Amino acid sequence: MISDPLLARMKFETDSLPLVNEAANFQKTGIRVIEVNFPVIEVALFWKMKQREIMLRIIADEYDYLPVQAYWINEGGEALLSGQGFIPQGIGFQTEGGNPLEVPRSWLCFRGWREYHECHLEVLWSAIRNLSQYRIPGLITQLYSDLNRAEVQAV
Amino acid sequence: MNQHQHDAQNKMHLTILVDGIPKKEDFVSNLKVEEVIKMLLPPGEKQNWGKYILSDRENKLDTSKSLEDNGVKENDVLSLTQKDGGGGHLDF
Repeated sequence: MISDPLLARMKFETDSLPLVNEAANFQKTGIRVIEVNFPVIEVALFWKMKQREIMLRIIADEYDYLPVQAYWINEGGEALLSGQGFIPQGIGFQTEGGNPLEVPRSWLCFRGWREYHECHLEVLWSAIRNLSQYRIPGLITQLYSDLNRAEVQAV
Repeated sequence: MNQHQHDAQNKMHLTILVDGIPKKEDFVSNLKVEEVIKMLLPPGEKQNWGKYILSDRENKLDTSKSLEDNGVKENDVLSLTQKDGGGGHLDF
């Protein structure tokens, strides 16, 4: 650990509180909260093009010294890979190829997500992390919106 | 019908996720979505309202139409997000 684990947990629990307390309202917009248990959050996002949910595992270790990381998973909790039309690609949705953390799983190249900041050193996480859109609930709602943009394909 | 009753009938209670934080407010049902977005943005950002979208579970709302003309109903939950979430474009 780089950061104080108690501080990371406290920030995680504070930020994720709306997901817990307002889970029913999130679900009405297409975001189903499955689990919130430091440092992991699992949500299912309704993917309109596929007319089904896709599950995302978010890992918030070192929060918020480092941004969160995330990848798509199946119901067994295993990483979903490209090749079967199960995961999105386009805009900042990346398949397992070229994961900057050098792990074989999909990744998110959007501001506020860890892998993006591994690639885009011109945008400092420390400069944006206190903006509400880059805290955990804001990241999830924006990702849900981007998932359902026309430019996103299933691969 | 008195004015108080009239006003009450034309308002709807909505929950809107703004940066993922639920805001619960009453809105006039014939208010244009453009105006709702402006109301939800901080003062320095209101002029950029066109960069944002207000959505329900299924659709982006038409900013030129009112809430009721977009089919929004009492106690609906909407979400305000940016049109472009700042995705990176990398070529490998």
